[in-house]
Amino acid sequence: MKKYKEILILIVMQISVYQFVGNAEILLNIKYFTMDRVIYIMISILFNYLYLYYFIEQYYTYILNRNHVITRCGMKEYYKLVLKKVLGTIGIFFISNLILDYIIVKKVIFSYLIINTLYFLILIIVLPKKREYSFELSISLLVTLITKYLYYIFVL
Amino acid sequence: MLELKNISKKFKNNLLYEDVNFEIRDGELIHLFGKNGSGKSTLFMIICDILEPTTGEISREENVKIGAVIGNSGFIENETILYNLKYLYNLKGTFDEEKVKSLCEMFSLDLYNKKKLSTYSVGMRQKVAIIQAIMEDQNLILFDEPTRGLDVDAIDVFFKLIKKLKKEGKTVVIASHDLYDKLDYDYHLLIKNERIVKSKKYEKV
Repeated sequence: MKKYKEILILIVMQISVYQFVGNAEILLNIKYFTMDRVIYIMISILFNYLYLYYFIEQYYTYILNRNHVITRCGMKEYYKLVLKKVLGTIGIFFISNLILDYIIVKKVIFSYLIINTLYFLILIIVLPKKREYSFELSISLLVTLITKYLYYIFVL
Repeated sequence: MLELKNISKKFKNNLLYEDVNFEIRDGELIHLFGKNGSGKSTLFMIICDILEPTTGEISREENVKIGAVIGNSGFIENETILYNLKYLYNLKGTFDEEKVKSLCEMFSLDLYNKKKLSTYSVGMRQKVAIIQAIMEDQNLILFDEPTRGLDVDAIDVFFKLIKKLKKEGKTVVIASHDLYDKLDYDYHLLIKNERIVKSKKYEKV
């Protein structure tokens, strides 16, 4: 039951992000810095944050419990568990992106997909190992702004 | 049961200990002590495979199952006690709900409490940590400052538990500053001058 809920949240969030990405294409035609553009970026950051927060929670299942899990399974098995989790989540992320691209915009936009996946990977790498010292919102803000900036410069 | 051979641990330029050799046998109750920062928790982490020693090796018998309370125990904060204990139990076995429930009752904890673990006090978290260290019938149990945050009643329960574990033939190692005279230890291990010394009597550090 919990898994179905998680998948539902994932899909709803992804749809929301894409709704704003879709709107962004229109907004990006505006040459100058407008209020609409600011609102779009703000909302986009918020959704990215919520979306990532959900996934980050999944990772901390292992990171928080690290000592207890290693005591039981050993270091090698612990890393296997984490790797399985990382690959599994990235796999789901990639596939859900592909499907939703197709459903929402009727075509697969690889540039969006690659940027989203990269964004997600960067976050996993820069995340601190202890939950209480994490600054997800700040990291989200920074990475979102950087990826969007790069996207505007190199892709559009 | 477990043997440490020529273990040394160094963090950058800080040498904690070197040439550590000792053996832990079945059914022993051991007290480990030393100054703050002398490496008691680090030694536990080395035994549990969480940290690697700089040199040396640890040989352990195949049937050794370790349970440990080390430092501030980490749990999945936004989940309940039941979720956390079930998750850990199921890593290497099948969750025995009745057994865990009775352990929780012993420490006046409600296994089915819907509250998230993040809302629990230090003492209550410590109780959960103690329970997870013994719930799977572990035969080598390491406690690092186990009475941290516990109230008087819970400390009594803890002492009874240790005596029961000893009767059952389990090996228990307790690292603490203040529990040196409360239990009938087989021997004390003192970390002093980068060495770990075994002694029958407790001596002030």
